Parts: sequence; C-alpha cells; structure tokens
Amino acid sequence: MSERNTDREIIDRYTDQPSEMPDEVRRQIEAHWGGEPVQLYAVSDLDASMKLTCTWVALGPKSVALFHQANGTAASIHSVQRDTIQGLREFPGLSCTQVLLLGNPDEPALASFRYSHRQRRAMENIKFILQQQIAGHRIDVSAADDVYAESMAHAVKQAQASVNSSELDVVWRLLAYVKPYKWEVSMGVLGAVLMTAISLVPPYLTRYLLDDIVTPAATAREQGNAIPDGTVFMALMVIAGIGVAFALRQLFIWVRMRTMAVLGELVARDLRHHVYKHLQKLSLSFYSSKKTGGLISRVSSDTDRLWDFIAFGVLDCVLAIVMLISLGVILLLSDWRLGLVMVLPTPLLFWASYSHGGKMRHMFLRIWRRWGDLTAILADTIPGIRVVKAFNQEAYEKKRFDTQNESFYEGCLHIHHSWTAFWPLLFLAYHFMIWLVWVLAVPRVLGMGFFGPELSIGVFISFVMYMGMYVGPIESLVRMTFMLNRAATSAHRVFEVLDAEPEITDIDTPVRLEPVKGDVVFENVSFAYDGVRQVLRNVSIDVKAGEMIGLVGPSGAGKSTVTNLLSRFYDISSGAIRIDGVDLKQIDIGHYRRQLGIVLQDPHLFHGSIVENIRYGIPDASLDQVIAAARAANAHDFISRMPHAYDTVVGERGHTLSGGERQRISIARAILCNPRILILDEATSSVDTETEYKIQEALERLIEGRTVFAIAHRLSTLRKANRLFVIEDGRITEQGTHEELLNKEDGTYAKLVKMQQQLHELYAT
Amino acid sequence: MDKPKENTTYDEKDLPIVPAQLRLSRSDDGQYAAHWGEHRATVHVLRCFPWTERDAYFTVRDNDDREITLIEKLDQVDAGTAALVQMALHEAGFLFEVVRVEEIREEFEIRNWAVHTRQGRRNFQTRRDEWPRRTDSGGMLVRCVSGDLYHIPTDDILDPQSRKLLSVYVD
Repeated sequence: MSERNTDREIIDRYTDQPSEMPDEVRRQIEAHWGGEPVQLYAVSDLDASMKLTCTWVALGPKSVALFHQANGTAASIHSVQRDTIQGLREFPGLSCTQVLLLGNPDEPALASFRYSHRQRRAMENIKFILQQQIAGHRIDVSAADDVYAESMAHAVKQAQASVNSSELDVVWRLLAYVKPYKWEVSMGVLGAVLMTAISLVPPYLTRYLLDDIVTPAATAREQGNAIPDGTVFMALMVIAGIGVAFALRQLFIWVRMRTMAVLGELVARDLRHHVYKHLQKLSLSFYSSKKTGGLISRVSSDTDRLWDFIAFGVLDCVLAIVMLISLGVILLLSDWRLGLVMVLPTPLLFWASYSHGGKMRHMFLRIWRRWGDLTAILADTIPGIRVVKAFNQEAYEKKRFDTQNESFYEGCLHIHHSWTAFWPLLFLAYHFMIWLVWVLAVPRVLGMGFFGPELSIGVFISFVMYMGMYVGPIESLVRMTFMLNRAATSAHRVFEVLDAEPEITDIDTPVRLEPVKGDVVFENVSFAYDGVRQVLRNVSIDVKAGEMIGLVGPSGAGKSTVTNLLSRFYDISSGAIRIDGVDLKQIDIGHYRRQLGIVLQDPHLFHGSIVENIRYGIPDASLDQVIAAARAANAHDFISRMPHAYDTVVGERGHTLSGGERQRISIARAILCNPRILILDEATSSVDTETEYKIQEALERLIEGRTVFAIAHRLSTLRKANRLFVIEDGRITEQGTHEELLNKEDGTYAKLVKMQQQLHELYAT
Repeated sequence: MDKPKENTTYDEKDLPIVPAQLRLSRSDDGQYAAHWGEHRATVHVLRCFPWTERDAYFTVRDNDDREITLIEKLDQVDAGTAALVQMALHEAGFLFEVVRVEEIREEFEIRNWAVHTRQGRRNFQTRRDEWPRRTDSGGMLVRCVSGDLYHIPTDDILDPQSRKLLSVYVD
C-alpha cells in the first residue's frame, strides 16, 4: 500500500474530516480563480464562535481562498490576491491558533481563520510559503493532496506503528517466519498432538479396568466363584498401560516444549537479524522521525514478546480448541445426558471468563497508569538527586513517592481482590456442574432407575476424569486473547521497520570514483527536509580539490544541511551536486562515503577499546597506522598515559574521556581513513582554549591535501580557510577570503567577527 | 476613538506599565491593541497559571513578546478593559470542552476517543502512555497526539456512561 493511501486511511479512520479536498470544492475554487490550480490546502476547523466547522484554506499561485459551505447552503468563497498580503499575524492559543492575513498597515486584515492543533502541520505549509513570498522568495509546490494527507496523518503515525493490517494479517505474516523450520514445526506439532491424544488414554483405560476387569472379578467373588483366568495379568497390564501413558505424556510435553521454545528463539533471532539489517539500510530521515528508545525496543523487547507467542501461544491455542471439542464429543459419547450437563454451560463459562478478562484489562490499565506515575518520579529524582539534596527536599520527594506507591499498591489490591473472587466463583460454577453430574450419575450407577438408564462404574469414573480435564482449554483460550493482542502489537511495530523503504539507494550501475579527487560543485541546490520548508535555496558552490571552505552563519541557516547533502544523507530537492564532475546520485554511495571523513561537535565513540574506536573505519589497519593517526591527532600522549593505553575501554558513548580527548580520538579515526573530502562540523566548539589549540593543531595536519568543509561559530578557527561562505536563511549571501569579507564593513561576516571580538574583550577584562 | 498609529518604538525600559494605565481595544478582525499614553501596540493576553490560578495573573504582551503589563486581578483595570481581557483569554485559552464520552478504544499503541464537545462531535487519539491529568481548578485534561487539549469536567457533571468509561483513567 502506498504511503499516500496509508495517510488517507489514517485520516478516514481517525479524524472526522475528508482525506482530501473534494473535487467539487477544488473545481469551484479554481473556477473562482479563473483556472489557477490549487497548490496546497488545509482545513480551518474552528469558526469565529469557536465551533467546529470545515472551511478549506486553499493556496494557488496568485491567490489564497477560504471556502465554506454549510449544509444545504450556497458555498462562500473569500479570495485574497497573494501579492496584496503584506504580513501574517498568528495568535497561538492552547488548542486554537488564529491567523490573520494582513494587507496595508492600519487596514483591517484581508482574511482571518482559526484552527486546532490537528490542522497545524498542514496550515504551517501554507503559512511558510506566504511568509517566504513576503520575504521575497517564490516557492511553487505541487502534490497538494499528498502534502495534506501526510500533514494530517503525521501525528497518528508518530504515535503508532502501521495501521493498515488487521491482527490476523499480522499473525499470518509472523507465522511465515516459521516456514524455514519445517523440522522443528513438525516435531513440535507432533509432540503436541501426541501429548493431547495420550492425555485421553488414562481415563479410557480406567473405564476398561473397572468395567471389564475389576467389576466382573468382584461380581464373581461376590457370587463365590473364582476370579476368571488372566484377570490379574490383564489388570496389571492396564495399570502398566496407564503408567506408560503418563510417562509418554511427559515425554511428548518435553518434545513439544523443547522444539517450540527453540523454534521461538530461532524466529526471534531471525526477526532481530532482519530488523537490525534493515535499520542499517534506512536513511537518516527514518531515524529523525522515530524515537531511539522506540527503535531499540522493536529490536529487543518486541521480538522477545514474539518468541513467547510463537513458542507457546499459537500451538496452545490450536490444541485448546482441539482438546475442548474432543472432550466435549467424548463426554457426549460416554453419556449424552451427563455430557450435556458439562457442554451446555460452556459458552456461559467462556462469557464469564471473557467479561472478567475485560474488567481485569481495565484494572491493569489503571495500575499501568499509576506505575507510570511512580516511575516518572524515579526518572525525575534519581538523575536530579543533587538538586533534591541541595534544596533539602528529601522528605518532600519521599512523600511524593510514597503517595504514588500507595496508590499503585491499592490498584494491585483491587486486582488481587477481583481475580481471587472471580476464579473461585468460576470454579464453584464448574464444580457445581461436576456435583450435578454426581447427583445425576450416582442413582444411575446404583441402578435406582431415574435420570436415565443404569451407568457402569467404569464409564462414570472415566467421565469424572474427562471432566477434570475440561476446564484447562477454557482457561487457555481466554488467556490467549490477551497474548494474541500483545503479540500482534509487537509484530506491527517490527513489521513497520521492515516495511520502511530506504530513501537513499544506489542506481543499478553506480560510478566508483577511485580515488575521489575532491572537486565539489553545488548547482542551484534547493532542499527541504519535509518537502515544503526549504532549508537551502538555489545554493551554488564551486570548490576545487584541496580547498578549505568555511561555512559561517546563524544557527538554522542551513550550514549543516550543506554537509548532510554532501554526505548524501538526504537527496536534494532540485539542482545537482557533482563530485569530480559526476552527479552524486550516480556515485556508489558506500564507496564514496569511505572516502569522506566527518568530525562532529559531539563525537560518538562506541563501547570498546580506544584502538577499536580509532580503527572503526578500517578494522584491519596496522597498529603502526593507529599510532601514527593518534600522533597526528595529538592523542597519542594522553592515550599512552592511561593505565591500559590503547586498550582502555571507553564507556558508553565514550563518557569516561573528556570532551577534548574524545574529539582527538575521533580526529585520529578520521585521519586513519585518509578521507579525500573532510567535514568538520563545530569540531572545536565545546572545549577549553588549551584543548582547542591542540585540536586545532591536529586538524591542521588532517586537512592537508584534502577538500575541507568546516563549520565553526568561533570564526578565528576559520582564518586558514581558502574561502568563506556566509549562509543566511538558506542562501549564500557573502563569499570570499577572511580578509575580503572583513573589509565589507556592512557585511554579516565582518559584524560577526566584530561581535566576537567585543565579547572576547568583555570577558578578558 | 481615533486609531493611533502603531508605535513599537516605546522604550523597553519603561515596560512593564502599571495595569491601571492600560486601555484595551479590539478591532473588527479580532486583534487586540493596548493603549497607554501616546503609545499603541497590538497585543495578546495570556494566563500565567492556566490551571492553578485561572482568575488571576494575566500577562499582556506585544508582538515581540515583550510584557506590556502584568494584571494580577481584573479590578486593577477599567471595566471595559477587564471585559476585553476576559474575551481575549477565552480565545487564547480555548480548548475543547468534553460534555459526553461515547467510546474509549484501545488500539495499537494509541487510545481512540470518541467524544461530544461543546464545539461539536470529535474523535481524537492519545498515546497509550499519555494519561489524563487532574487540574487544580477541577476536571481533567487530556492531550491528543496533535497537541489539542480536551477538558473533561468534574465527574458529577458527566452522564453515568461517560463516568464509567473514564473511571479507568482517573482515581
């Protein structure tokens, strides 16, 4: 199913508004505009009196229109020429935002509309384009329906994994993962079937023993006759048979549990493997739309939950159904009158168990909420324990915790009171059925002539034994509904990852640059992370191999986006990026990235030794190369001083090292890869002056002979750049050498340098 | 009243003004303007404590988000201004007022609510770990996945069915 269809399905399912602009509305608006197409649209869902409504706000190349049609009334269209809009004013509220389109100052607003947060994303697209127009930038957008659908579905998609398949579809898809393990499945099923079948044997043998061996022998003795020949032998054989049946039952249980537990682990392992492998392929845009914790739990706890379901859930469910039907038939065949006593109330038992399950679910929901409150206190206070102590609030925090703890305890008590009351009641009902069987059966066993014909002791005892087995499947099936729901949720989350398509892929026959020379050209590159809000606009840069380029500008101007596009973490919206004259989209991305080095402000070190971290890009680099890279990065001395030197294990994210030390290890890692193009993104911004000097020195060695793109807020670090590009609002506004830009007195770069000098002098005094 | 020209050149050092100096007006397109002395600024009004103290502490801010004045109590301003402050607060503090809960359905990772509000019928979704929270001023608040707030009044105002559905989510 396409992304667009999924979005529309979400809108239809979860909101009370259309999943796209109706054709008639579009037709009327476009006719009103004289044929201008609708480029973007959104819904204003609140009217001036704050009642829910549906007014379409449509954006065309030259106009903005508000379309409203109440039931049974004529449509009203209020259109505003885009070039008359001088400003936009927004009044955000708790759940309503009002937007005014302003014309000339001191004149009433050209148009006004209100909307709830649900419409915000779609509205912001329109607002952004109007704001850009006011700022002098023209943006044309197409695919209005897709943009609207994506905007409306976004919040639900963020909160929920894929919604386009039923529980059963998901379970079938999950079961496809057991296909490669036919042997394990066969053994597990065989074990389970034999275990079930053999369970039915002891009551049958008991009946045979009593009716065909014990009773004739006892009758013979009462009549003073000898016990028939072979009676003892047969009795011993049957008793032995019962023993063997019990032993075989345990054997089959063992076969079934062992093979199915292993099968569950095999499937969970395969799922983890597929999910993790697929995660490595996915583009950064996927990661930016998902929380890290959520992705981790999909690979870990969700796959683990599926193990439980595959190992025991599916088979238990099937067996419980088979067992229940078999026992029902056996009981009816043994004696249909007594059988009905057991079989008829069964739906009632199911209903009672299911309805109690629903109540329990509510109670569990309540304690989960309270548990959430309790853990929120822990998550708050433990990391903030210094603040708690500093403000002497230990008693307050203890009281806060105790209140929640008490509340959780009460919730648990409620649950325990409920199930401890229900299950004895259920068993009371079940035992009442058994008691009723006894009431009806005993007179018949005694041959008293009512409630039916005489009943043999063997039939009665075997009936009693089958009765004892009858409640088990009912319990299993009730439990299974919860297990199925839980497993389907986990499977949804796992399959959502597997179904996500990587946005950055190689073409069929990609070009390999061996080696990359380092000529980089941006030709009229425009880019928007969300397809609408352009972060870069018509950026053109021509960089020769070996040049060092400094990117300067305010936060959010688009500097890091330039480097993200250069690394092809995202594909550009328009224009072209060429490396050594070849379009980046034609280049083998893995091969290209191996010749690209990145040093970030907050370098990520993996858990492992320093040598492993330095070798991350080239695992088979020699130790000589590692030391040479560390020397060049000014890291060798501090590493050698550590007790375990290069074998020192750095903790999670390398937190056992200082910021400057981690940075120098990341520089060594980059040096070892000998990249042809190097990206330095605020590499020295979070360290002290002395460390900065050492890092700067290391960087100077690193940049020699490479094409370098450096982003820095400390402008002094860019003095050595061959050229500087000032980026503001997604455009290059100034370029030149440090000296050239300093000479532009009204220039942004000159102002920034002056401000930093003043700040430096202020703190120096 | 003659409409003075927008004047945003007032000195920031003179802000905030005392509430008694403030006169508020509202234009036909719904914009509020603060007037004091020779100055005029388009403003918006917000509650400082929307849930713990709804009837006090209102901040009047201009388009650059500078505080023009802080009104502790509405009797600090003239009656006309007080009425406009309340109107502005009603608009800025708008949230959906639930009058009946039809259904709360648990789905994969979300909870789907079907409710009737004073504004009309509405479906909304919350995350499974997003629980309603009690407010000091009574009732409770639910935040949907889009960020809209739904105020559910104190239990005794709701019908028994709504109360039953909500019983899971409140103590």
